[in-house]
Amino acid sequence: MNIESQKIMSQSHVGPNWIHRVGKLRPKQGIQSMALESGLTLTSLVDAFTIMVIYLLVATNIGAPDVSVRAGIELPVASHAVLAQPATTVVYDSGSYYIDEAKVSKNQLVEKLSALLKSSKEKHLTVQADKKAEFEDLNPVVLAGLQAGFEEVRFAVIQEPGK
Amino acid sequence: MWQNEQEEQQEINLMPVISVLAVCISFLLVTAVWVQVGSFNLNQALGTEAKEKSKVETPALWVELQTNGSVLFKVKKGDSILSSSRSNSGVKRIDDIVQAYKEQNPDMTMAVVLPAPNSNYESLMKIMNGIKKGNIANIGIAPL
Repeated sequence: MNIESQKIMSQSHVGPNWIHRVGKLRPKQGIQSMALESGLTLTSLVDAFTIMVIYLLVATNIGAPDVSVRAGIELPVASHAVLAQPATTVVYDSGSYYIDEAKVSKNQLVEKLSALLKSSKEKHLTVQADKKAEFEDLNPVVLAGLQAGFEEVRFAVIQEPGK
Repeated sequence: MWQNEQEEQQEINLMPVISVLAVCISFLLVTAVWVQVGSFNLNQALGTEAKEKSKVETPALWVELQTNGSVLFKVKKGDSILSSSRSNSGVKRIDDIVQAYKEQNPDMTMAVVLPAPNSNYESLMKIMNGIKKGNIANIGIAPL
C-alpha cells in the first residue's frame, strides 16, 4: 500500500479507524439494549411478586389465633360465626370424648372440666364434633360445661370463605 | 462513554429485591392459615332463666327441632306465645323464617334453640347461623 492510498483510507470510512469505532460501538449498543430488556423483565417480576405478597397478607389469616381441628372430623360450615379463640376444647369423635387430645369417658367429663377450669385461665368451653354427630352425644358436654362452671359454651364451625 | 457507565451504575440492582420477595412469598405460603375456624357463642338457656326474669321481658324466638326433622318456631313473651309456625322443610328456609319473625318483632334479641336427641350438629349450626343472620345476637341452647 503506498502513502497516497493510506491517506485516502484514513480520510474515508474505510480503514482501521472505522473498524475500531464500529467494533466498539456495536457491542456497546447490544449490551445496553440487553441490560434494558433484562431490567424491564425484572421490574415486572418484582411487581408480580409484590402483588403476591400483598394478596397473601390480605387473603390469608396471618395472626389469627391458632385453633386446631382434630383430624378426621368435618366441622359444619357457617357464614355468621365469630372468629374462634383459644379455649378449653372438648372433641367428640366416633363415640369418644377428648379434652386437649386426651381421651375421657362420658362420666369423667365434669370432673376433668372442673379441674381444667381451676387450673387454667380459660373460662370458655369449645365443642368440636363432626357435622353428622347427633346432639344426644353432644348434650353431655354441654351439661358438663355447665356443671363445671364454664361461662360460655361455643360450638366450633368452619367459617365460610369471603364472609 | 463515561456518561453511559454512570447510567449503568445508577440502575438499581433488582436481584436482592426479588430474593427478599421470594423469601417473603415462601414464608407466607408456609405459615398461612387458609381455613378459618369460627364459633357460635351460646348462652345456656338452662340455669340463666332466673337472671332473665328480673330484666324487662322482650319477645324471644324459640326454635324447636323435632325428631321427624320438622322445625317449630314460637315467639314467646314471658309465658305467652305471640305467634308460632312449623316448617316441614327442615332447616332449608331458616334464614327467611327468622328474618320474617325479626321484622314482625324488631325488639327480639334472644333466641333459644331446643334440639331433639337425633338433631345433627350441622342442622344445629345452620339454625344458629340463620338466627345470627336475622340479627338476633343472643342464642341460648336448651340441653336435653
